[in-house]
Amino acid sequence: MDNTPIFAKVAASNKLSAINIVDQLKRKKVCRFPDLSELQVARHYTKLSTLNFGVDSGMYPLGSCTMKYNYKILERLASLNGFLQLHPFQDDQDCQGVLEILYKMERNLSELFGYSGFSLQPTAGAQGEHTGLLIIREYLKANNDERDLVLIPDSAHGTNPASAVMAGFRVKKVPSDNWGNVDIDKLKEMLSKEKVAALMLTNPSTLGLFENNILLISQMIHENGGLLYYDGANANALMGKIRPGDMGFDVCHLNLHKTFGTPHGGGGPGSGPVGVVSRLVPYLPGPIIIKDEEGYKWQHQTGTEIGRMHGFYGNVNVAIKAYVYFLLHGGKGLKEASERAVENANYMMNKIKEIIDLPFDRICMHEFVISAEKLKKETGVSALDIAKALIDKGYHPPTIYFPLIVHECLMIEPTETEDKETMDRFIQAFQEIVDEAKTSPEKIKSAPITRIVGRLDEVKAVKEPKLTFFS
Amino acid sequence: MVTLGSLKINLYKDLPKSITDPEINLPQGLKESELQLEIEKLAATNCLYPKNLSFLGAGVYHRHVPAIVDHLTSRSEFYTAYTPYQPEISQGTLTAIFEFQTYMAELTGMEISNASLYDGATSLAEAVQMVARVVSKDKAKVMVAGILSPNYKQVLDTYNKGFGNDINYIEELKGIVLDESLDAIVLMYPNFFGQVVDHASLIEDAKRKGIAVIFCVTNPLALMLFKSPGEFGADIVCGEAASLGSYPAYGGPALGFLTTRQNLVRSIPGRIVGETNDAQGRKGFVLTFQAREQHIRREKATSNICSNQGLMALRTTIYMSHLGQAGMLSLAEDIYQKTEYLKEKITKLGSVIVDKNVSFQDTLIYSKDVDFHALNLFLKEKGILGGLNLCSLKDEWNGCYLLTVNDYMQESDIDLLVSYIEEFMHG
Repeated sequence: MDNTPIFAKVAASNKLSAINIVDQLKRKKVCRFPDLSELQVARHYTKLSTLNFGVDSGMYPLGSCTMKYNYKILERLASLNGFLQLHPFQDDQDCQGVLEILYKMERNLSELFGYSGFSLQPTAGAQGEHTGLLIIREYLKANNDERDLVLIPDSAHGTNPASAVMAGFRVKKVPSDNWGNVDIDKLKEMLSKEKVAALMLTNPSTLGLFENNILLISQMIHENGGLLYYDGANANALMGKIRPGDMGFDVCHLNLHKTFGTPHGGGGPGSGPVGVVSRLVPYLPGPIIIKDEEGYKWQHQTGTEIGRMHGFYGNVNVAIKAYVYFLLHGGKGLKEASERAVENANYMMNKIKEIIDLPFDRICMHEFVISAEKLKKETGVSALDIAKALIDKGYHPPTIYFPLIVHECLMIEPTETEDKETMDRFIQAFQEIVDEAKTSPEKIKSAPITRIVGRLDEVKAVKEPKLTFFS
Repeated sequence: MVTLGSLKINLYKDLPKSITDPEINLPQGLKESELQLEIEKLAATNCLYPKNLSFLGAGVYHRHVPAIVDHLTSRSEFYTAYTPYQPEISQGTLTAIFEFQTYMAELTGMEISNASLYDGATSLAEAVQMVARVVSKDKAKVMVAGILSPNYKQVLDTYNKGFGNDINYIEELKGIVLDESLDAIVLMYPNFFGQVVDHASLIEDAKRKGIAVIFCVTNPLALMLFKSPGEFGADIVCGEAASLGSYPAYGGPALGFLTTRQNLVRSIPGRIVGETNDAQGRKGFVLTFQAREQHIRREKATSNICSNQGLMALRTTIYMSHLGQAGMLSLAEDIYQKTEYLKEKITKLGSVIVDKNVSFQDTLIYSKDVDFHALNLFLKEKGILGGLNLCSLKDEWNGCYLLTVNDYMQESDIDLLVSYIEEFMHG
């Protein structure tokens, strides 16, 4: 079998260092690492890579994750020695090139999303949320305001409540209405009872729908004295079309690894910059980059900044890739990318709703959510089964069972980089699966059969945990 | 306006008109060839020094990255994939993370590991918060003892604004008294000054009083030679592993890690991969213990972490597989011997004080007479990247200077540095 860990290849050597170190500081337990030739290592990981599936392997319509194509020029340019070999403790004068990129990236993001300042320090979307909420916390504290409640829609990403709690807030859920929007009456009721620190919202929502009442919501939150937080995980629909800052969001994070086409890396590194309106700029994590007659330099906003969120300056190399993506497109190209993403999603949605239920039948933004609830009742075939059957058809499955408010849901996001033929083939595959669910559901339920393993026993993984090779 | 079937539809009709299509002032797009020139120019503006003459370290190390690491991690099946939520189609990533967990657990002498965290500083903040969960307290009482990077301290303090743990920092280890009310003690190993300190008696005392022991390791290569945190009896080990297979890259992306004991698995922050099998008995790997995580537990999750540093963990995995036990050991020995050589040479210089502790890779030097800022400028003119002038990070460290060796250096490079330092001091 090919997914055998490398530790099985050869017996580990049994050698400790003979070097002269005082005995009480000497390591006695041997590290059981295999000793292999370079060729053995090359073959092992090349084989492992073939067991994976990336955007280059095939369509990856993973909703909420924006698996767009990663332009190769991003990798080439971010890998220049001038970036990779730079030490973070070098003087600012030594680092003018990278500082210029970070500074310009912050300015570009501010312009595109309608903010006064950005910090590129947060390393991922969730850390962006954490940072943004700490900014809100410190801002309120500085104004002697003790409110500590954060409202979060029931359709929100799980990171929202988790980040709010990490920033020291309580959280309460706001329900959605029948159109997938925030339930305004319910929100009004909640606001009448309590002062809220913030409402976290992603717009378009995780249903892929634009929140029609956004200006009203913004007004309601601000009249209550709270702040509006923008979860930018779904920003790919909006570049150049509408700005979160203009919608009334006081704080915003973005996912450069989604919207700005930097690769997801099989789970990071990402980058989750945070933008803020002018009154919150003093609270951005420090240090920030400033530009004066001597050039670019790091500076702390002593006394107000929330502090540091990263040992240095965040995932700088990812920000460089995003900057390349920015320049590759330009302002106009970014807007076109968003428009194309929305077009593609609507094209697919209108085809797929002929095949399976679409719970919210309205124009979508960059993604849409369908439900296999009825199909499951009729045939026993679930959203999970469809996902696994898509694997056998050569696709990465959509996101499943999220958002939590739609039963048996699949969330599809084609992104702007897919062409019509690819989307048509996916729709065809989807049709075949649904047809087959009605004739031979057991076949769908046994998928996938084309990969190195079938469905894995996740219960066993918890009940009999084996988390390292030697355990 | 787009055409769908026979309909012409404005897809943006849900957006408030008053703020749709704003005027935005951004540059025009560039062709790939233009971009190449533009970015190459900026990269060239950054000032690099020969790696064998770069004496700056302090947690971020110039260390040779074998070509195979770049080559294999450039395979798009790895780097263009998402988090492996669909295991059947992600066995490459999952197997590699399982290997990473095995490597980190072995190296630190612990039982289990997570799949990575953002960097060493955030891994420390997560480790401290993990203790609060383990002891089931809203606020844990924690002592951070020894020399910690000021940047790490800032991150820990920032995270703690939301957590509200009671954290005390004590730099001097001698004479520490552990109060029984403490929930955990954090020890740096090697510490920010590169010192490898014997924590045995302190740990013995902590164990007696039921205080959890956290090790923070920012140069894990040292653990090939020195008594591992597991051998010391650590409960949690956190730290930074970017120096195993990745580049300094101006500090990021880095690679945080966290290892611990099996019985604490449900309190771990971040992803974990485990082995299981399918219905036919074929072995495979899945993300496991997901009930801890934000997408299931939401506000009750052990952390908000979602994307972590997957590709960096893959780099470290391939790096360690390439070096193997023998390669890792001889690299650690090489670094240790060069550290010793540097200390010996600087000691011979006289007029500066060289650290008497055991040092690994970073070496602390003290003098109240030498202007280390000026020394660094002098070295720069000679094409050498000098060490870290520690008072730039913390006023109390005035007169302290941290010099770092690396695996590119020969003894002659160290000789050259020492001769320039001598020239600077004595003219």
